[in-house]
Amino acid sequence: MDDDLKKLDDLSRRKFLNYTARALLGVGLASTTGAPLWANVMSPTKGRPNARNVIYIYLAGGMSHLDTFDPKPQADSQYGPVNVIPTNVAGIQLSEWLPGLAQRANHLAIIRSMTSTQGAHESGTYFMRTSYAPRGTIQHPGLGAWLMSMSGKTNTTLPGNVRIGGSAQLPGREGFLEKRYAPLFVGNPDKGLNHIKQHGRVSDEEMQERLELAQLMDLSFHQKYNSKQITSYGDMYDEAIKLMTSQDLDAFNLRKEPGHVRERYGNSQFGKGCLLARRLVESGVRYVEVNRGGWDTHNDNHRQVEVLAYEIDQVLSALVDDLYWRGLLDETLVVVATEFGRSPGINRNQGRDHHPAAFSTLLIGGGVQGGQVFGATDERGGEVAEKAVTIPDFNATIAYSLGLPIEQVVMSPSGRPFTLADKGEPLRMLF
Amino acid sequence: MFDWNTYGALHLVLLHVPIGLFVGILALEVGLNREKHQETYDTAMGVLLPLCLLTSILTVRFGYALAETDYNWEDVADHRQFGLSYVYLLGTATLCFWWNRWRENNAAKGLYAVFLSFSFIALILTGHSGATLTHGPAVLDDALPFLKDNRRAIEEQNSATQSDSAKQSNTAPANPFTTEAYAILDAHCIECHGLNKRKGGYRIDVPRLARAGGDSHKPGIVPGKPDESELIIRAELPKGEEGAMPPGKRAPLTPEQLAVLRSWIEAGGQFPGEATKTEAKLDPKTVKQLDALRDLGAAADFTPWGDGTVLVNLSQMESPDWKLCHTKLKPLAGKLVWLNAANQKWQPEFYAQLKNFPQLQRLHLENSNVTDADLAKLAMLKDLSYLNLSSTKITESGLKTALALPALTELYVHGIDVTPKALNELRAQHDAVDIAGLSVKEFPKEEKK
Ligand code: HEC
Repeated sequence: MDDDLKKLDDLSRRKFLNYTARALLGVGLASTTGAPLWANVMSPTKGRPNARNVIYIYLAGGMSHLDTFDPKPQADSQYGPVNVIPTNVAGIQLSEWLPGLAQRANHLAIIRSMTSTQGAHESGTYFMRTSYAPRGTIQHPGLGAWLMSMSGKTNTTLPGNVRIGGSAQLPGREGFLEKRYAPLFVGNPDKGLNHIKQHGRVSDEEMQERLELAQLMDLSFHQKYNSKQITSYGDMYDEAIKLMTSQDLDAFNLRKEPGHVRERYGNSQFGKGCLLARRLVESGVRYVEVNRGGWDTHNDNHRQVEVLAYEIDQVLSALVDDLYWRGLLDETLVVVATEFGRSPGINRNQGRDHHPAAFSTLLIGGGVQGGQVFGATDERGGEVAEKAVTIPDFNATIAYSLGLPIEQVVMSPSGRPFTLADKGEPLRMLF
Repeated sequence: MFDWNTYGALHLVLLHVPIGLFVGILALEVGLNREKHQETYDTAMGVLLPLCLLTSILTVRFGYALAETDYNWEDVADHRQFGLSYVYLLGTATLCFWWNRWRENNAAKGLYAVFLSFSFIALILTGHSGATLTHGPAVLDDALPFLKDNRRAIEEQNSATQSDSAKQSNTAPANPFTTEAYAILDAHCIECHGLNKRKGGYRIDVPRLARAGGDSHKPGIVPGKPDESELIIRAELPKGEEGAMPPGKRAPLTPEQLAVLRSWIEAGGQFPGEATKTEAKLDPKTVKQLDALRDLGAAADFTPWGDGTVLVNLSQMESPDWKLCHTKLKPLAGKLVWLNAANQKWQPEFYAQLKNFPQLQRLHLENSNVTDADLAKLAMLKDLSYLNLSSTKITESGLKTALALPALTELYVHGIDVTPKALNELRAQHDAVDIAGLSVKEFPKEEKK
């Protein structure tokens, strides 16, 4: 009996710690510190930025712009270009593999003149997520962490910054900012958060007692080491407890969604990830990242991209409709990004290789005018022909749509000055 | 080829070596009995001094690389100068040491002692300025509290003078050369230094970047100082000289144009629109009022529009008490343009009291207990352009009431109980309003399990 109890205790404690450890990487705090910084922005000329939330969709591996958002029907590729289809906006054509998005082009701002300097996955991803090239020891923050630190989250119990899919280790976490701004990682959207429910055999009272004991044990430590970083860890505890007892957890439960909605998003991990993202945004989570890998099509490019493109077409179409119908699209910026494009030439394995010189990204909602194409590549799709957009420019545009202070200099703990999008200049004309 | 810049971070590691060696040198100088151990002294110093000098030089070289990649050239100016003087002094001390060994003389001995002492001082200064760079200016505060008070006094003084000068510049007349200067830049430079092309990593069309400069890391425009502005320096270079702007066969700027650019920068180098741009300041009173709402569990912030208006989100609170919210919201009535009151079962007064917020432009009522009758109470909201009624009990008659709002442009009706036909008719009648969503009748039937 005694032994049993111990085992049980051990297990639930481990579970609890396990969750707390996750929470350490993720749960933010209500923005009580620091003044809101939204007021520093110049007033835009045309539309105005509206975004409160971001759903950041990352297509890892390097999406072939040539077979999706920047098709070149005239180019004489040895492997045959993809066919194009008209969209619901006159003058804009998309790849035939994106029929759903073609019908929603009035919501899309397609940037065809992205250009990067990093041709490897790791450095390319790092650059895209942080606006800085990887360098030495410093870790730069991602936009979600910047948003949390500069403007705070809306919801008091749910984390403000969530990452779905991919890996918890991907760059674009809290960087040199405080730990509590890091994204909460959800590996499998179907499972939601792990280890979040109080153990069945631990009553509320027992739970409370244990917490008090833990606090007592921490007390002397906190008195001795009273630094911001450490209290930031302590706050995690409180946050985790709040979350455990919160009704907001339902936001993580996809089964609460009616069948016909789940059907629209489809059965793929990515579809579920995007549905979860919408649920979270609806519940007040401000930055949700959804990852979809597999775009590194060095082999058999056309066949692979066809499958991948149909998937994102279905999921993104469902997401755009869903946000639009619920009146969330206007205040939610959907970003579709990737680390680089793919080469116009076809390699020996009928694949396309890395191509940072030119690629495409998408911005949807958040005050961005839909139905527009920004910039262009040359006739082969290999070089930017007009209005080159650097990665810092792109990230500055996301920040601008959120009303974040792009020019504000923030010191890293080592005393070096940084801004949230390096020298990026937002594309104000998109709004 | 070896690229120093990749290894700049080594500076931070390597710098400890010369410091260690230097301490060794000092220890020998002070602690070793010269009479007894002259030979040991000569051998040890013969190794320590050149080694210390060599590692110092390497450290400086890596330091340059680090400054190049990670730091602002100006920010590290002190550290750089101290570091360089330290190396020069140590080098001279080393030379004197060998001079004395080659031919023993008192002049050499004396000079050696002097240079070594000075290099010691320079080393301390270098170390301290380096520490301030990496650990921040507060590096000594905990150890030496009196420094902190001192510095605070200085900072206060500085900020006092700064705000004085800010006041002055607010009243200063706009730069009279701005329009003309920008026209010259637009005609001759922005083609290569703009959005499409950023030659030399330099953009002139964006004020911030025009001032920051490009790949050379020299400031492009220094307000008030044309001679330090790379933009002027390049434009004044004679045609054909390397780096002259505009480059190649293009005609250089005329002396008159250059004069305009100079006067423009002398007068402050403001860009069009900048002189009149009043920085939207955070009104501290509003910030306090927002904080009071946050304490209730609401989310409250300025809108992203930068005009001082605010948004408040009550949709995440747990059974909010409207009376309490109302008292806290009331002072913000003139600024509240965006209210999210979704997901709540509001007391009946709530809908009636919304009229106290006449500036509202966006109102979220999705998933709330709003009824057709409540919508009639919104008629006072003359600026309301966005209304979200998704998943509520609103019927067709309620929609008609809502559509009578004068400024309405977006109406969200997803999941309410109206026939698709009625919705389409409303859409046809109100083509200025975007009526978005599917009625619940359009949802596919859930299959029963
Ligand atoms: C034909 C294209 C072209 C035009 C027109 C042009 N530039 Fe340049 N500019 C360049 C190139 C290429 C470089 C980079 C090479 C170099 O630094 O000399 C450069 C570099 C510069 C730099 C140095 C940036 C840095 O910090 O490295 C400045 C300053 C500059 N230009 C100013 C101007 C000004 C002022 C004008 C208009 C009078 C102008 N440029 C017109 C092509 C141009």
